[in-house]
Amino acid sequence: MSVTDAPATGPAPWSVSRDLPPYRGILAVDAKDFTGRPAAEHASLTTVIPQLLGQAFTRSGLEQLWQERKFANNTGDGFAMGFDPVALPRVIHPFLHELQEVLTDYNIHATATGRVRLRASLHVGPLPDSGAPGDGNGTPRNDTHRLLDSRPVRAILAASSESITQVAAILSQRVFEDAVLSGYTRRHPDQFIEVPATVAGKNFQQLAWLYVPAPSGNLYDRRILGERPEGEEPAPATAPAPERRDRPAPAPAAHRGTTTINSQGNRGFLNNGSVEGGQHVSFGADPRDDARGAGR
Amino acid sequence: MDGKRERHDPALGVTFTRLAGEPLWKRLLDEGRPRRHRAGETLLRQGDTGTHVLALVEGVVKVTRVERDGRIRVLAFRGAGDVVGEAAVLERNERRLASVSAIGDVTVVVVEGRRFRVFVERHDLSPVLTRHALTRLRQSDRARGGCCSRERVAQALLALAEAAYGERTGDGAHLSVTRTELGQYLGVSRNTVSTALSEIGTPVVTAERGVVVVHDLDALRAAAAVTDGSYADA
Repeated sequence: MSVTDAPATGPAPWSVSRDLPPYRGILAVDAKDFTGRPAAEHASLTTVIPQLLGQAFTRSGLEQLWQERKFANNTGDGFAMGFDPVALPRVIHPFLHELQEVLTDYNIHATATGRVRLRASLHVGPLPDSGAPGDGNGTPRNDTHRLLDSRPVRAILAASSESITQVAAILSQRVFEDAVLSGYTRRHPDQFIEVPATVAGKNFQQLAWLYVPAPSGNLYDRRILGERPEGEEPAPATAPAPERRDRPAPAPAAHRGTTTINSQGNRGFLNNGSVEGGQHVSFGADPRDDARGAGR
Repeated sequence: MDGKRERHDPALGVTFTRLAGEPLWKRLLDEGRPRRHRAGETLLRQGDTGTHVLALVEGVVKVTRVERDGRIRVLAFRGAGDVVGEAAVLERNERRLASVSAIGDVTVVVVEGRRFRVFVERHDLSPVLTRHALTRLRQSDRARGGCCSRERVAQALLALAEAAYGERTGDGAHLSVTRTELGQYLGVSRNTVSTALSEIGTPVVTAERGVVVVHDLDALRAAAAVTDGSYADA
């Protein structure tokens, strides 16, 4: 991995040793299909995302994190902020869970505007936040945005049910190791899905971890990520498997089998634009949703 | 605030009418056709494909959602002058996220989704409705917190009774709401609601199967009034 960003201020890189900026957790979110909205709606929605985030922080008991947010940046359809990384485990859970619930509630309350569904990315790294210009700029910040724009998190939100899944998150490998594998968060590592995060048109590839607080429909079916359950024949009727070539089932996973993906099949999943449409149709007819609704 | 019936509205929230104004509300009602529902009936069903919104002319409804893990969540109670049901749903064939059912007899005007969206666009209501959604969100969060469960239960019941029966509010008002639902809305357990009801007293309110009956409205008002000040701050 190459260094893409020199220190924002001060002497030239590598010319002198100096203090590392403080470690910051970085959260970025982006609304799905936001730009497709009518202009009038767009204008009124730009204030919505920070308010929803604030509400989710409050429900999680993390108001302070919100009030003391560092280098916050509101782009209208997205938001990014830094925070004290000691809170990382709580930002993974319960914050992401509360964000999912806040969005559900908002979408029910919103009578006339489109639903708000969010991608979220979490990363950690040294970033200046001394109050000087250039605060929050640096490789960790850029990587947070690239994770947010990466294919897997886009694909998994697009492929999930709009009635259930309002948030899909992606965690950097570093966040996963420090806050999840370490056991400091109240989510088991098996609730995360390992993916190679790539961004269209960008030279970016990192190992990252998907986390969906409220998975739905086909997300329960790991075949959408190109996996094949042991002992099962390929090409099942339920999940339209993208570009799957017949090949022997992947070797048993080297570590924590249930979350390791077959990167070969995965590539097909990530790159194939037609996947989303096909899967969406089958979600619309999710019999579980019908059964649930009908009982009330 | 129009003064008369806004007092106990923490349980019902700011209405569409208050935000958009009475003239626009009247015009909205012209966009659809009226329909009546009995207490307990389901008006909109979670999981259905949504094609319309409901403008509430009279009565009170509850908005509930069943989560995938089976939890039932009561998101809101809504009274006359409000709009329920997601209208933006229509185009992409999305499904309703919540159910809406009547807790007393209600009259609604059914406005077809496309007409509602055109109406919103023509009157530039999008910012208003976005604000409205955020206000509702904050209100439902506030309803779940705070002290004094007895007073909060009394206040919620009073608001529901007044909104459900309006001018006709009197003793013997039936509300199709369960203790569990009241508890979920107020963020307390069903037992806490039961205790609160018995503290308020059986001459005042009783809970039957799926129904809460208000026997003595004035006494309920007294029970609700005790900590009005502190509730307003909660």
